[in-house]
Amino acid sequence: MTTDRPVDDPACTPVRPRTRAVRAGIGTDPAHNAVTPPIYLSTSYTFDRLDQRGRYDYSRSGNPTRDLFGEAVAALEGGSVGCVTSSGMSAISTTVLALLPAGGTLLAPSDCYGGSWRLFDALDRSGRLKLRLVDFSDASAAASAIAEGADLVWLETPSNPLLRITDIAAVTASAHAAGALVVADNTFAGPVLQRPLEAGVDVVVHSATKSLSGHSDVVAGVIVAADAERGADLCWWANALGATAGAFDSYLALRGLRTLHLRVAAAQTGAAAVVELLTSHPAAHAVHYPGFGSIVTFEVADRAAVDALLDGLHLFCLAESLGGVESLISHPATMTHAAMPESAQAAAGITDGMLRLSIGIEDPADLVADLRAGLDRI
Amino acid sequence: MTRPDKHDPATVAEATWAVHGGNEPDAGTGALRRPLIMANSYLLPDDPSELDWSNPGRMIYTRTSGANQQALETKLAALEGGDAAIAFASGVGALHAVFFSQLRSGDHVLVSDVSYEAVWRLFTELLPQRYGIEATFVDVADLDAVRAAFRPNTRLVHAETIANPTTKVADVAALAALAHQHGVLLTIDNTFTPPSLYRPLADGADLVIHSLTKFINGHGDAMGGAVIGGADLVRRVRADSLSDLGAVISPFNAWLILRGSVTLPLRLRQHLANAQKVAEFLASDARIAFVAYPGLASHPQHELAVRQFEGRGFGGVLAFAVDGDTALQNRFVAALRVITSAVSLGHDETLIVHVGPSGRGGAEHYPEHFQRYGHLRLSVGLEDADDLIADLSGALDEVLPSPVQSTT
Repeated sequence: MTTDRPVDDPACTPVRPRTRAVRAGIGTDPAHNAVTPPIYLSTSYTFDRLDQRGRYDYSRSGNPTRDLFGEAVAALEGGSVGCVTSSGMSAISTTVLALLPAGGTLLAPSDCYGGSWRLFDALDRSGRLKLRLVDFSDASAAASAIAEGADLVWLETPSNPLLRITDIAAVTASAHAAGALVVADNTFAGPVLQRPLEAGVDVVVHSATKSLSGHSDVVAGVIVAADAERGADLCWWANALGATAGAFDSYLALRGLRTLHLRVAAAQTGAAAVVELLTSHPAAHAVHYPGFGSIVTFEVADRAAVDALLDGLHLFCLAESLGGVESLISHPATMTHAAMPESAQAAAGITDGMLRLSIGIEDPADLVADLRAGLDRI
Repeated sequence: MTRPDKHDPATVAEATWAVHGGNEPDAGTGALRRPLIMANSYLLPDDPSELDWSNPGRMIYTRTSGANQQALETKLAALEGGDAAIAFASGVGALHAVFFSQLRSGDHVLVSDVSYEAVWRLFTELLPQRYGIEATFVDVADLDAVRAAFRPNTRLVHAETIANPTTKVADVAALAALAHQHGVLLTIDNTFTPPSLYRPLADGADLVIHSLTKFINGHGDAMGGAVIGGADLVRRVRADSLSDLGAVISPFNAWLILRGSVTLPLRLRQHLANAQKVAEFLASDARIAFVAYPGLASHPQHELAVRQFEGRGFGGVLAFAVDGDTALQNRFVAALRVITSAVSLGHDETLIVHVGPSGRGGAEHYPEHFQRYGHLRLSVGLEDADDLIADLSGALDEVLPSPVQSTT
């Protein structure tokens, strides 16, 4: 028997992560004692008196439903503050604008998410920051790039779409030694599999559209800061920029979060089965999988082989996004990474024959059968 | 080998149907997940002269049907292995719809003597008094008693696979055989043991009823009920009891339940594993007066439960009592720090409710220990089982500070 009694209070630690995800906000309704928390759609909140402001005044600045989701993700990531934004990109843009001094240097992965790259590149071209790209999975290249000077280091691991791994603790230590802050986009792995704040990272961002909400029906983002003061500052920026999320999306995301541990485990089982197929099938040339998570990238001969595989799939949907309950297949070169020019795609290792799978929670045998038939068509 | 096709439940496994059943990428926009249609009416054709107004599949007015309701019904029918399903506003709405459509004044029914309280009230008060329908309450664990209770005007037998809250298990195949020998219907409330744990239609039940509010939605935020079965029977229930009685589900609740049921296979597995662990913990503690859970060897119908549920599990709900009076049960509940005290069950969070010895209709039919101690009904959720056990153990230590040490 454990000696510590679990306490259903976010300020206390003994409750295990799975319990936290399931119970976030349960039984906290002060007005009606509703077990499942209310959805506060109200845009405004009354003041008791002119000089007496409650916790909430206006839903862009603060919303009880949104706060529950933010607190829950912060608890899972081991951070102090969670700020929920209208999309993953609004979490990313808010974080960069808040943390990077004017004209500062942003060091980002050469194969970072296409949407992040587009934003960083546009900010660089318009003179708002200096963007430098490096392959963080190459430890010596990462170390020398950091030594050249950076104000903010941006990590994405596993990377998209090649699933390269960065040593978070090592890069963070050298970045801190060089006086830079470190942000990790933890969308791919998520807090069940990887907690970058524990490795010293200052801020974690998420596209909550993906596995956190998990049902492909919410667009949202989360910023989690290790430090409470920095978290408050990021929340201040999200409010000032108007980037905060709506109550209904926050509620659906929180509802999805309650099954995060179950979904991640199921998707990982499916991914293992798919990797086994891909590594043994002659039509799959290269398989990229780090051994955990629900994303699998592989390569077939060329674009014609891609078309042959895609034409006739009965389970996998051809769609962007990832981390949902249903399995998706996407073509990075023309879909998620289309914003990258060909040269940048080549530098990132993206080819015409590359396909990215996001494994859902279907029965692995069904996924393998659908994919095998597709590979057999090549 | 059959190619899996997400539109055809016969070609895919359960977990795959849970994700794709009832969903359809939107024809207009390509949206991956089915849109929520809150409209309460649908456009009529330019020339309505040929319109079949009574076709239940034709979407005209949301009190009769709608896109999200039909999606949920399609998914549930395949889930239970039935031809068709009807979604209702609540489980009790579904139960009443079945009884209303299948029974006439002067009919007689056999009802499990430990049926859910709302069923108890329907058959002790409303249906006899308002409709002239007579009920005999029988112990469904005693098949001879069931056999003896049939009358010439008996029309229906009703039971719960696992009864709420006593956890008495109904032998569905045996009850179906008896009902069919007498030419009457067997209706089974399968709320406690949703698929894939158990499918009563496969064992001969004629109609299955669910409170979708519980495990199938699973998130404690939508009310719903369902009736599932063969095409003809379901058509009759729909024709007599849906549109005119009006217990229709809202499109939003249908959408939420469809979304919740996506993770049913994952959740159910966790509910079953956690419930078994918690039941074994409670059973091993000498401060606990009794534990009723079909997964324990001490349960009087454990062998039936093993056979009927084929080893997949025994449900997510158990009943127990601390060895003491009503005040002690209440103090125990108040001392819990993780588990929430509230009614309902099958949510992701663990719920507990204390009911005193005579607190429910029909309590005189409950096992002796329920009548002596009252009971705590525990719906075991998806939390880490160690947290749940630590919470129960901590609360026990708090209210019984000098525990009799268990010998395990």
